[in-house]
Amino acid sequence: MEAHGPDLWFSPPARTDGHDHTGILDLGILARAQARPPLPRNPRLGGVHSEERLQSNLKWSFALHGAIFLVIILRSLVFPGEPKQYRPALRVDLVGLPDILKKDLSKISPSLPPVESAPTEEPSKTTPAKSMEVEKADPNEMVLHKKEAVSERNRKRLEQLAREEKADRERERKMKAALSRMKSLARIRSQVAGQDASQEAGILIKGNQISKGTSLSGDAAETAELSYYDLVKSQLQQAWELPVWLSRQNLSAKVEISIDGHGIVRTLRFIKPSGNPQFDEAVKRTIAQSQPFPKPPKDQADSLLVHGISLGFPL
Amino acid sequence: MLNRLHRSAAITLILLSSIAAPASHAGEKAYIAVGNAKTKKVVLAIAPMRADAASGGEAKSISDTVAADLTFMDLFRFLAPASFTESKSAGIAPGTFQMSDWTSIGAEFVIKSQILREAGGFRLEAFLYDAAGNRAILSKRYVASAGDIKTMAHTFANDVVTALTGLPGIFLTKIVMSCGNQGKKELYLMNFDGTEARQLTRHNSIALSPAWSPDGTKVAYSLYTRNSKNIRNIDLYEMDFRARTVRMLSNRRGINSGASYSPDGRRIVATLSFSGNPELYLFTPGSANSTKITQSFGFDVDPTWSPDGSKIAFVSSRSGMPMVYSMSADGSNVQRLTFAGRYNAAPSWSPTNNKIAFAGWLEGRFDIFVMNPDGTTIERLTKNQGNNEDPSFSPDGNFIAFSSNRTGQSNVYVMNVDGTFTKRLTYGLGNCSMPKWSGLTR
Repeated sequence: MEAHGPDLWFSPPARTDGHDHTGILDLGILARAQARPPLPRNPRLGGVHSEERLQSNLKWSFALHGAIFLVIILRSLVFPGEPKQYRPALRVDLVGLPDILKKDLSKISPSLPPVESAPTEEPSKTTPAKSMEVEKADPNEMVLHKKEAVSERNRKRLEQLAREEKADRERERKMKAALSRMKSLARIRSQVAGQDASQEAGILIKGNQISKGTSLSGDAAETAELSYYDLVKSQLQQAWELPVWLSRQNLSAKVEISIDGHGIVRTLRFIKPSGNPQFDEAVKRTIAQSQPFPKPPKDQADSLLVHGISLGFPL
Repeated sequence: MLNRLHRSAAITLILLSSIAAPASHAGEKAYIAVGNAKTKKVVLAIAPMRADAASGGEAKSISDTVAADLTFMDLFRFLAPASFTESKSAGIAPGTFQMSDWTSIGAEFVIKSQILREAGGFRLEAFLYDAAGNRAILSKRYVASAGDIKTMAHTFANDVVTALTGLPGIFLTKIVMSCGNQGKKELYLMNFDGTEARQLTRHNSIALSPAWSPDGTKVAYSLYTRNSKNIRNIDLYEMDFRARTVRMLSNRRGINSGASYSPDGRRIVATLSFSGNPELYLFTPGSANSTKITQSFGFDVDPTWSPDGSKIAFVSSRSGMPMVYSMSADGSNVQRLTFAGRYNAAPSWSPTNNKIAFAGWLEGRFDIFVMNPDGTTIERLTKNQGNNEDPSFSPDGNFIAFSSNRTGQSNVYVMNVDGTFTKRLTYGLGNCSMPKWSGLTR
């Protein structure tokens, strides 16, 4: 719209083409207004004349807005209409056809997984949490020595020591939680760094590829569990090998295994066999060859033996 | 009363918890996606073929053919004969040699064979051993006349591939294509590896878009013709190899082209334009009736059947740009498969691997891409090698034949479905295009 578009919209009386244009829905007026070169504004036309015009315009504006408002309200009351359906949004990557050859993709992808596996070891070496632990421990020990010397004389002091110990334990617990939080943070940080690095290396994969995204997990127990599954996964991946013709066939299988306290597979059951005997045999061989798995953590041992875990090849 | 109520409440609670407990545990069960497997080539040792004095030449010919066929597959790694440790006195039948002679040098599978001259021909006895399992997974005897030595070798190689991979062997399959120069194109036929190319048609016109019947006995193709009023038309013809005849399938006004036989061989889907707009029609060869199965403002061309015959993938310009679509064989359930790119053409449905190959326009050229039948996971197979068009899958799904003008002239090439191995098949036939790989001929 031009600068005086709104003027023409709401000021039918100003027009002199003989028609009575009362509604803003009259598109003819709009089209003609656009087609015509903009009228030059006369600065002397200000004062009383323009004030009157403004007032009448405002009246029109209020009346029309009110009418529209009324229509909308009435319509929604009289015809409630269909309830709005919320469908899940579909993400379609419209970047273009992939520009990297399939054979080159396989050369690139091996560089990506380390991003996932590396962080599990990294935090233990570098986390600031550990150094904090050391700092905290020193003063406590010093206090303890002092107290030991004094406690022989004073029972009250002993009691205080017990109280302090309790507080210490509480502090330790909190610190552990903080540590795990930092660990997961460090993990995310290194993941992000890894992504940056891969982008800097010029690996940009175009077309029909959806990124995995970043997932957050702050629970200490959860991370311990995850790290065990990471170990199982990496051990399986090392043994997971297929002849070329099988890898081309889009086959997949799901199995359920249970692992005992020594990391040995006790049971193996196909939940969804691939239908190809060679493929299923390769899955069985992979699991057998990747034994023994690391010993499961105590709190997971029961669940791993009784309920087991599901494995997808390659799902 | 109250007591009873309490008890029943307690029982209900216990029952509920016993139901809920396993459910909650099942929800907790961990799931690990192991991911894509590393691929490996199977290690194969081909023991030297034994031969009696009268068939030394044939032994070499068969050995060479089998070795060439298996090498072509690009699935195996062969142990060099120099590394073989087995003594010459060892036999070929199970139990007549030591498998440790082969496992010790790293062989996973061993081929052993011998050829003997018989009355009227040759007899080939062949074994394929699984070295680790120490058992024969193939033991066959082939008999052939002197003229059929090549066929015998290919048959043996086919059996080896089937025993190892569970997939059909392609060493007796053929490729039909359209070749020619100076405005003339005729159909040519050649073996899967480009050998024994020969001319099929002599219309002195332009023969295009060949298509195999699933049993390999017929080829349908399009031909530029002139009708009685000397108006140019593109008609659909069918060549029958057994009956040695050519018959006209459809000569309706306009285009009659791009035929594709259904997997049961009974029906043909093709593009006809007699109603004005090129649409896909379904008809039985020999019948005058046809059913229109597409309805759009754009053109609908290049149909290809899914291996089970339930779906047809095709190219349509209904969205403005030519894109690959799929639909049920009766024309319902139309689904757009490709959204990326500007021009995607010539789909070919893999007979085994649940993939569709197509030619997509990217960086100013056509290149070959492969995707899942629902349009996901597009993979690029060719790049920076001229135009690469008209993909056609081998019947085992391991290879794609295609045409490329990478040398300046259009020729037919073959590559494996990973795009890692490419071989030129046509030499000296002019510009060759539109290769179509036959089914498994028997």
